[in-house]
Amino acid sequence: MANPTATATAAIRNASPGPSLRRLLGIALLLAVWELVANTSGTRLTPTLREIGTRIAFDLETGMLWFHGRLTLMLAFSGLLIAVVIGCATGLLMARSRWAEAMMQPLLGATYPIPRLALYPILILLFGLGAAPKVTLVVLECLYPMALGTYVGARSVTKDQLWLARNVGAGWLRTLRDVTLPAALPAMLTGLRAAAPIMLIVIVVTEMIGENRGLGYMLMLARANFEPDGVLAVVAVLGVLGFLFDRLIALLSKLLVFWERGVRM
Amino acid sequence: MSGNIHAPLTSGTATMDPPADQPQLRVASLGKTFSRNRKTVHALQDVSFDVPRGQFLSILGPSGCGKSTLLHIIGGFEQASSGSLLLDGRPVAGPGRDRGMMFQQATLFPWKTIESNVAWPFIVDGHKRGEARERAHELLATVGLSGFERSYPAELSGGMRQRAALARTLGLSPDILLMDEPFGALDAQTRELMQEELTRIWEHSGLTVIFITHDIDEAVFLGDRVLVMGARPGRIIADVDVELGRPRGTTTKKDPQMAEYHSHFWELIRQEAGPQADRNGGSDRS
Amino acid sequence: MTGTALHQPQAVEHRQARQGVAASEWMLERRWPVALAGAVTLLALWQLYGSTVGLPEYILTPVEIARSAAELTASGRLVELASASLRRLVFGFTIGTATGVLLGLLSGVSRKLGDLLDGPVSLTYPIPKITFLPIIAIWLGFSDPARIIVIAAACFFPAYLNAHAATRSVDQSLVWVAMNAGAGKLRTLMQVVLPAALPRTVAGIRQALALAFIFMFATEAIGSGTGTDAGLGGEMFAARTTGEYEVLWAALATVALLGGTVDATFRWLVGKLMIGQELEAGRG
Ligand SMILES: Nc1ncnc2c1ncn2[C@@H]1O[C@H](COP(=O)(O)OP(=O)(O)OP(=O)(O)O)[C@@H](O)[C@H]1O
Ligand SMILES: [Mg+2]
Repeated sequence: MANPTATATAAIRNASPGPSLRRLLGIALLLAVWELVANTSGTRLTPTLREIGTRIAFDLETGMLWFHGRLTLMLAFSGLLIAVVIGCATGLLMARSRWAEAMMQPLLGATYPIPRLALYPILILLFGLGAAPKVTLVVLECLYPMALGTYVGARSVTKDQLWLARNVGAGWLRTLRDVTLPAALPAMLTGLRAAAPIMLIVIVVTEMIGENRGLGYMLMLARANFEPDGVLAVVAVLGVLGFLFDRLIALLSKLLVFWERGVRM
Repeated sequence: MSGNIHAPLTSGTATMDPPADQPQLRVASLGKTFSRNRKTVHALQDVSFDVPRGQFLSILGPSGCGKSTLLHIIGGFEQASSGSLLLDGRPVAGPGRDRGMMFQQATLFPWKTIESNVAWPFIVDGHKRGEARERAHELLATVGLSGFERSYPAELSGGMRQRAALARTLGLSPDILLMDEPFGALDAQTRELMQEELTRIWEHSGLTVIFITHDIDEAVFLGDRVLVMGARPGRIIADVDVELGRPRGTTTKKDPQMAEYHSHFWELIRQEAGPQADRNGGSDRS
Repeated sequence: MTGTALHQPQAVEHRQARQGVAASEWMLERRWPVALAGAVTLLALWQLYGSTVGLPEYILTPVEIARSAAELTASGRLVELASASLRRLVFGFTIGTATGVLLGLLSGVSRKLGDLLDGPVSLTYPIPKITFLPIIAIWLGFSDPARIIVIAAACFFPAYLNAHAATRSVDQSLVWVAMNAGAGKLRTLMQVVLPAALPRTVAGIRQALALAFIFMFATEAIGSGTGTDAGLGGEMFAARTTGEYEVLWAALATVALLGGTVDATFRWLVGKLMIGQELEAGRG
């Protein structure tokens, strides 16, 4: 389960830094084509960029975006937080215990290609509509990258490092805090970076399926009211949110995993 | 010179000592087998030797002969399959700060500064942060790393990292220093400098050192005594006292006795390895 | 080498290989027996709990699920639902992945194309692709083409990004060696660059496959059709409201089975095709 976001940024970083002009050209081209289509078609089906911008401003003003966005983010982050806690615990357990490893690793591998989203109807039956099934689903999806990231990270602790800790007389808690967790941190953050976009997808999908709040609902409402500018406004906001999360985690990694910079000089 | 070199294990220095003086470390008929995937490796078989207090013992042997395994057992990290291991007359139960281990790779935490790495054992031991840092500074000065306290391991050269690891190990105040080819990954010049540095530090410390290497000259230059190991199964094939004067330094390396020791050990290793090793010439230095 | 031992060997066998230790060692080495035992135990507990204590009516026991799945398969309903879903999946996955891999490889080889595509890709990448569905549905309605386009869009990104990064990270010296040997551009591309980029590209395709299943289900759940056209996803939500719980569980089991089987087949195929190359590269 590699990390698409990390891959994305790696790809972006790999690209030559020089001709950023050409890259801007690509974006400009995309937007220009959209504008052209929007202006020539003349229907409301394809709003211009300006119309989308106006709509975002309008939704901000009425408080709609804030109301629904806040709900979406709250559920998304609750789910992510729980997934981080459970995922880290699972990953650490897998790395420490051979039995846990033998049990969990094939299980995670075998269930990885099964869409957890399919459990949503059953989760609704179990918990009723509302926050609980959504948060559970976010947890179920984000658990995978977090658990695998932590597992890989905790396994990167070398035998020498663990023996050193034993030599010094460090107890298991001290070893976990001072040795295992710092060593696992880079891979854990990579897992987090993979989990963030999944979190957004899951929460939005669940909100798009028969719900009356959240950004996903706002999207479906605008569609039902036949307001393409409203739909695209929400899509743009989601895109910005996704971008911000990714940048934020990248920044966090840079700050927390400062020691890897020296090695890669 | 031949008088100094006794036949394989007729005696170590220890048995010559008065019986009241108990050896600090007694390794008796130690054996270790690894079994994995139905294959069994006899890493060590019937290894016995005594180490008196304050001795610098070099253990010399080809790759894969079980040197590291032996050191890991002495360190208490691994368990022997058979035999016994007595430290000051008591069996070894597990790792402890009385035996400071230095690994082949400087095992420094990349997320800690040099200072914090060296201070860590003190912190674990319950010392206050300021006090731990002070002790770390002293130790770093001992190994010649003053001025690099705030650097991260990645910013240091391989030799400097090993110095830092040595400082940290010394911080455990061990009775015995266990060193597993600590200079193996260093370039030739740095390696010689580190050897001289280690000799200097050891000669002032009175520590017992068990030093593993596969470099003959390194074993002779550093050691009071050299154990030579053979492979498959790992065992001791020779136990030799090195009678070069102390203090040792640059001049020791030019001592004609060094060359004699070198050819003697090379002969032993060549015999052990069999005739096919003959073609490779008379030096193991690269 | 005489008289090696000073002391009589006092062999203390620390670890005797007892039978039980050997058996557990065997299981731990292979891993899957442990996982299988764990999974079977879970299913057995579920079944036992259901048949003794009892579960809510909407939670079926494994045996009941298997029975209803068999019945629905025999009646043909499950097969029709699954084939409607798979049709979308196959089209969407194929179109999205093929486009992604092709453009990714090309943009990896050609700096100009790479720079040009880089902007639009990084602009659209953070958007949850499922939001494309209502947009496209504005023009096409909640139809098969709309769903296929969304699945394709979702598959495009991992395929493109991995193929692109794979080509970019091919060791330059490999290319120089080929050029030095007098290989032309095309030959270098086909015989050096592509094989070297293969493992990572395949890892990207596998990610796309997993996404295809998620999006197959999601696009069916949103604005779902009726009858067998609903597909497995649509049918599950319909069954929830109508209370046909046996259909719900049978469909769920089918989704799980399809996802697992397709992924396993994919990995098996890749294993056959890429002998000696690292498949797990993308599974970090
Ligand atoms: N954990 C283990 N499991 C199985 N076999 C092992 C294990 N550790 C060591 N061995 C085997 O035991 C033998 C001795 O290994 P050891 O690491 O002690 O050699 P060494 O003398 O230190 O070699 P080197 O000079 O290369 O470090 C080798 O044949 C090795 O393959
Ligand atoms: Mg070794």
